[in-house]
Amino acid sequence: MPTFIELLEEIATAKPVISIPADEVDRLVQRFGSRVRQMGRWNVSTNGSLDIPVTVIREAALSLGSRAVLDAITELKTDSFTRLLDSSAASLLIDEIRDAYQRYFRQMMSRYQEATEAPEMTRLRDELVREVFGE
Amino acid sequence: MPKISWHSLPLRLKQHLIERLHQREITQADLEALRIWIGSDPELPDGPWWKDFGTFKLTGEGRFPKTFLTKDQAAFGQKI
Repeated sequence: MPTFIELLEEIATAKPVISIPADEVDRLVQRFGSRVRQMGRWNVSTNGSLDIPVTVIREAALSLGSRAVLDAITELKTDSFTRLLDSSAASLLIDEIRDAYQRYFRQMMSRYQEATEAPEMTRLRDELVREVFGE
Repeated sequence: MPKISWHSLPLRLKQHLIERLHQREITQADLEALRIWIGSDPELPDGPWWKDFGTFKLTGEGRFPKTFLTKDQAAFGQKI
């Protein structure tokens, strides 16, 4: 079990976003459909990767519970091109991440609409451009 | 059928669309619909086309998106 300090070190060095490479995105889309690309920012104009904020994944995992997440991991590890049922644990996890990302995106749009300071408006505008059109 | 290429759409046009969200000229729901549509990796006709997102329209030709129009501006080509 990691110590308190090790946990803090892990948090301090963790990336805020995980990036799924294009070939893995394509494989997941074959198995689960285009909703996979709704789990985060799809960098359609560059390398085709999918960037998902860690906070989004954490929120989805907490919502599903650890048992369901472990079942989903088992299914995802199965290197199959067979399309899984919508009721599978992996499908449920993907839907939960998609929904959490949707909330993340809506919060960003609301923050932008409510922003009044020019630098904050510019930052949020550019962030939204990247979220919609990719990097 | 060609797949869309977002490279052809200038950054300034993308920024301008988002600025219209701040000005409440387009809605959050319609911008979200655009994001979801992009994620569906849509196939497009070869000639001119346009897609209605409610408070704005996207026009293009083949795989190249051209510009965003307001909801009242006329668009030409195939509606998708």
